[in-house]
Amino acid sequence: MDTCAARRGFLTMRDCGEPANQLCITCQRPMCTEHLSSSSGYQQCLDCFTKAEQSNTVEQSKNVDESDPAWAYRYRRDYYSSSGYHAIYYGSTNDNYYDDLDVRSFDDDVNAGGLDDDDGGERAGFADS
Amino acid sequence: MGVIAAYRSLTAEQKQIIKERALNVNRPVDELIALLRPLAACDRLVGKSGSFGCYGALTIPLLIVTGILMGNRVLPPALAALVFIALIGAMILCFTMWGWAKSIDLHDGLSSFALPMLTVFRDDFDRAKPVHLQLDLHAPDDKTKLVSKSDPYKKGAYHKIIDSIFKDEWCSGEGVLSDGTKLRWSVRDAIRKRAKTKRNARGKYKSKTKIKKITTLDVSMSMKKKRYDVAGGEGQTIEEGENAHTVSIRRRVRGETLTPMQLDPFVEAVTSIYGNAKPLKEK
Repeated sequence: MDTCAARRGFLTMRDCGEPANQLCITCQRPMCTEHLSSSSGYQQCLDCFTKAEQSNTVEQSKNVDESDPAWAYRYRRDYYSSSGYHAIYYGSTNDNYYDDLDVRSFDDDVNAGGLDDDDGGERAGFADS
Repeated sequence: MGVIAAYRSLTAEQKQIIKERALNVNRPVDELIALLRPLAACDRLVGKSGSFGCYGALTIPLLIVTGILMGNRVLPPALAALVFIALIGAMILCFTMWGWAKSIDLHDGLSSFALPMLTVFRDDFDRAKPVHLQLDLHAPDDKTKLVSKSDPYKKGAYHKIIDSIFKDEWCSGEGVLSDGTKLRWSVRDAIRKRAKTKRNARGKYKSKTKIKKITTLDVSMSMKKKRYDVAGGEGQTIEEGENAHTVSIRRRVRGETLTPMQLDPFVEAVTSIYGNAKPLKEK
């Protein structure tokens, strides 16, 4: 099967890239297990699951439950829609599923080559205390 | 899962964190979340165990009633003695549990800010690089955080007012994001606790405590020049380095309770920096 079509990240978004094992029953996009909602019996992707919650006008992200895998996606969707923040997309897929999140890229067309994540040798250099 | 079972399920490292009320680690974000999640879950259960104290307090009037019934021989002496001993045992158990739960109570900032922040930004952090996180898990008004305490003074109807000032630097950290940006943050509270006592018209003494808090949130992000052009925004200062723009922002949030800052101000500060950064095409 294809790679997972979910996009990770909050400040910047990037393609998941993990091998997909199932299609979401709502959007028919290939998804890995991590991006399938356990509350839907792993049938629906987290994006569709939280989108459906948002359309039911249930503002659940205020109830912090970070142990719920959907909570971070819920928070992301709620924050994007309420604040107008446009995440930067570093990826190479032309997927209009995320059009409602109004992500930014380098220009209006997606940069087909993507961005090289190589830091060029910079190291964080943190030492354990 | 009750609080006792939750505490027992913690690792030795997690129990040590509770004992010391301090965390200072460098770990990849997934390991950090795995370390903190059970601690936060246990702390939430501790927060709900205040009922032990209520049950313990409830036994006191029951003991008095049992004593009266025993004295008036309403209850058979043997039965009354049994009830009395059972109530004493229940009282000791409840207050012991209440005291123990208080001894493992952690700063609410762990579950209201630190863990949610790591969870929301989990996919933004570079998974291969460590995140440095420092948490002071003592209560915001713990004596270790007391800076000064005024002598009692009078003002208005209150004949005795004592101001206690606390400095609570409860969270700081730094990490590298997946786009190479270096993120640093610190959250500190300045708290004034004012204990006031007055005598009302009926001669009764009334006391109350008022809290004023200012939370200072400092965020700085070093964004690579080859990736971003930074225009800056309101309240942001920019320092130009050789390879990166360092954008700093400070937010102050006022409050009147000891409840720590929630996640939203931090997210707003960080996204305001990213919102003003223009991604550049790779040359």
